[in-house]
Amino acid sequence: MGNQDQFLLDSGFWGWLYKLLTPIEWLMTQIMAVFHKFMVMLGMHPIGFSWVLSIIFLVLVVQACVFPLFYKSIKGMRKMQAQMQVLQPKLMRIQNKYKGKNDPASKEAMQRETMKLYQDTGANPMGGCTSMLPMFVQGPVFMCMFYMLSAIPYIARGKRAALGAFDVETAKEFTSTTVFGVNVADNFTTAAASGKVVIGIFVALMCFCLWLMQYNSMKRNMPQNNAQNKQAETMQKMMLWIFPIMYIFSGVAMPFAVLVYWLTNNVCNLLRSVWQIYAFPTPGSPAAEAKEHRDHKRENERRARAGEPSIEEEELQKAKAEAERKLTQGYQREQPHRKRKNKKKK
Amino acid sequence: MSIAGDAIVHLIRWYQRHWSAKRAAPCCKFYPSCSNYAIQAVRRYGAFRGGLLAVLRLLRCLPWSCGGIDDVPQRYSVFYRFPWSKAHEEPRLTPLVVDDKENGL
Repeated sequence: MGNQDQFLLDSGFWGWLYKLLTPIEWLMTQIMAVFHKFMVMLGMHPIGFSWVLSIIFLVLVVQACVFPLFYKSIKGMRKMQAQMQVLQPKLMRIQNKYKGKNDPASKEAMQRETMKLYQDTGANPMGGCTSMLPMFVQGPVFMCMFYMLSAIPYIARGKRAALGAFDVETAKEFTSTTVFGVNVADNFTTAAASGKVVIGIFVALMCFCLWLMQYNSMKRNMPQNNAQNKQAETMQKMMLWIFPIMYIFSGVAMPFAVLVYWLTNNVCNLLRSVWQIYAFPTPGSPAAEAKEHRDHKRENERRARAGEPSIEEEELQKAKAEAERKLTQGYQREQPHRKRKNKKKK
Repeated sequence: MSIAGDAIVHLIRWYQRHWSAKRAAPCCKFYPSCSNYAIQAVRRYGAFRGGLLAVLRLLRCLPWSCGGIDDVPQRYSVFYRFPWSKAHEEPRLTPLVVDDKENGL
């Protein structure tokens, strides 16, 4: 494996961060080891697919832990968008107040008032509060996973101290795992020809997952004809190609175990993103339209089952009643009666 | 203002004209925007002390901060954002006359 006697992640610039995250790394090794024992108990061979499955299981556990945070942040975002609709009349009032005034002083006063409104309601369109929190949690957690999986070969060769459940024996067991003809510690340059093909397929799948996720959110989850979104759109178009290409370069250098983790993670992210676009689309996007249509249909089906008139029929009935009222009572609105007065007369 | 202060203001003005102005939409969550804040701070407190305020302002642009009105304080303090600071100011809806003179309005 070339000149790799020293574990570069420890001595590199971010070494202190990995050191700081040691408790999480320790917990992850324990989860993996426990799941591996469970798989062996079910009758799987201790060296082989059981380790790959335990990597996948670890990704699923981590994703499940991050998911509630993610869910909360989507909810918060949608709530903020709803709040913006409440804010709209207030914004209109400010705009009307400074209508036709083009001197710098009133322009500044207008901007100040708008900002104050955003600040007071906690809904700033320029940067949502706390909506980015899950990203900040996710980053370190996935760094830990990456670090742990990269460290295991070094532990097996005795170049690094044991980490959590991975002492030298367990690490050796892990690194002697070979699936699809690739050793988990191999990377693209060290693997055999057939292994290169397998790693190539994995990297391609990873790229495809990411590309599909971004493409889907661009096509389905972007509000249409919105001038403010022009910038975001060009950014997303760049991301659509830059990240998959970055994956090709980094995918070549990573050991196979990391690729397994990465691919599983990407598949999870893809599923989550598809679910998000399905259940919580951005208002004004094609996905939101589809959701409206779907909700309408569901409501009608529910009413049909309950024996109530459908939404269209109800509207028709109301319109008919209104027309009848206009015929019998004329177009004038009936003035409100005072109830108490009538009672006294009786 | 010192040469360094002048240079900083010129640099920020260059950024505003050739970089910031070409954006599709304004995107700062504070008012005044960070570049205007930096110019004001450097003009009022000089390159070093004003520059420090500007750097702190940039650091305040975090995902969990809500933005809003954040003027350069009348009295210098690094902690002016905290209510207990003597330099703390409530967000103003109208600009002060001093600000206008500095901005050349």
